[in-house]
Amino acid sequence: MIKIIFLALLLQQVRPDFILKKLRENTKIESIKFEATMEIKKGKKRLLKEFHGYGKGNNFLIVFTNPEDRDVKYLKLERDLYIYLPDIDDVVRISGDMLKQSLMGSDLSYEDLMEDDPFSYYSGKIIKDTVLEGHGVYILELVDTTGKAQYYRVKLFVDKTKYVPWKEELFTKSGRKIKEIKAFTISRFGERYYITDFIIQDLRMRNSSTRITYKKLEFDIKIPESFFSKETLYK
Amino acid sequence: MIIILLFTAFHFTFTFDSFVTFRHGDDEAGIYASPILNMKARFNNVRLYSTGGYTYYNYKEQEEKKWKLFQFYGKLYFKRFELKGGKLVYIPGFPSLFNPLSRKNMFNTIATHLEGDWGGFLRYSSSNFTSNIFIYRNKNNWNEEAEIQLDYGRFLLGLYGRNEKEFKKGIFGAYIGPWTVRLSFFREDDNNTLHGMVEKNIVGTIASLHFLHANHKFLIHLPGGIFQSDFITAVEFTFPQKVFEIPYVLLIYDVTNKNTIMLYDIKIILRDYLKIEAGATLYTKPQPSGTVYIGLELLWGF
Repeated sequence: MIKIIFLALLLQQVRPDFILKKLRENTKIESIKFEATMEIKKGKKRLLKEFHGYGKGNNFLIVFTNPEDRDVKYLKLERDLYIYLPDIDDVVRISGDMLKQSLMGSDLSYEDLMEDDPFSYYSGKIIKDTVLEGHGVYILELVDTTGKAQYYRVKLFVDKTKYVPWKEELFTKSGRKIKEIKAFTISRFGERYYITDFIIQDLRMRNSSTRITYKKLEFDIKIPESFFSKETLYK
Repeated sequence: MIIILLFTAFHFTFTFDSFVTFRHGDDEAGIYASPILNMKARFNNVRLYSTGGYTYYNYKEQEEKKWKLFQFYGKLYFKRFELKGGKLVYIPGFPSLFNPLSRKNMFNTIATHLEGDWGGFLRYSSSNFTSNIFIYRNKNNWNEEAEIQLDYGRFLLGLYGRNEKEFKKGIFGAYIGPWTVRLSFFREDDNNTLHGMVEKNIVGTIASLHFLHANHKFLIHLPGGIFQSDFITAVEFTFPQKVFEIPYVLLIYDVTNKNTIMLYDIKIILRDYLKIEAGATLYTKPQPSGTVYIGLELLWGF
């Protein structure tokens, strides 16, 4: 009897729905405070950007601090994105097709930032149980069943114990791989595991990559609602 | 000194702009050079901004040297109100290339600085409503401008009024979806100006189509040149995915004067701290002429 229960639990654990649920739990954030760097590489050229910010529910605020972009602010309010441009001391709203643009020339698009719960659109299957660079992973293949996802098909290499992907491959409906994300560091914050150092490559751009490294991260802390208002951008 | 110490954060950057203008059949070039200091200071809710420097212009027998303050203003933010005072630039409607209300050049390169008017500005903004009031002194007269703007989903609607010698009123609206469409209409006395823009992202390139039509002549400022027209169309290309060498292309057809104008601009970022911008503007009428310009901006500040 015990063996049967154990086997049932084991099967339940490796079900794709269970992995997806654990993944969504790890990525779902009540509130977050962060400090990070973004290193953009195009061929031999390299540019370093620094930023800090806050997130709460579906909203976030990012403030750039590196010399070129000092005081540029991004504010996401539900489905809208606002940018404060210090050169004109004014706010510009980005929505619709403009969200497909790259974030400051990086391999990330504004749309990548806008997804609140990216794995909610998919259902999938496990195609392999393997080892990736020393980490035990399940290879999961997800397909968009809602028609709302930014990427039609996603291949995930999910850590077997932490339920965070070490690698993601993102495909279009025609089967073309357009982006690849690799995690270098996964850190533990209480019960949560979070990727704190990763690289993203937009494969449509030649010799291009963007590495994001979090220097400080705090979860589930009190953040005033007033941080996520258009008025904050003008301050 | 005490005032300076009150500000908890200062930031200074240095810009150097230069223009060389060539005209067909002219053996002398016009030269413009300007070192500029940009300053920002912050103390709690108070901000202080300043842009100013020395300008030098030389063409044939004409020579002009002067110190110029482009902008100098303080900004106070309290709750949803923003109060500015000093010498400042305010552009109502959509800040865009051919905004008919822009009394100054709207082309945003480091080699062009907008010069403000002395006055005060009050803005109230909430999530979907913004109102602006600007009172300024221009040619010994006090003028007032007011604007309200409503955001509703993908739509935006604004009303504008300016009390100068004549009362000027305007309406502007936008749809921001898969395509961005912006339209504005302004009327002053019997002068009507219609400005439209359609923008679309095509494979990493933003293409914008502009037209500006009026029943009176107006001035258009571009780096190194000014022209007068009442009907222009233009196409503009920007490349948001470029980070190190950011090109910009603008093609204008001045329907009134049958003049074609081409502008190519490129910004180059070096070692995170230096931005170099260079470009050229070519005109076909009244005689073939061109301007080349270069600007440097030291992004490192102290």
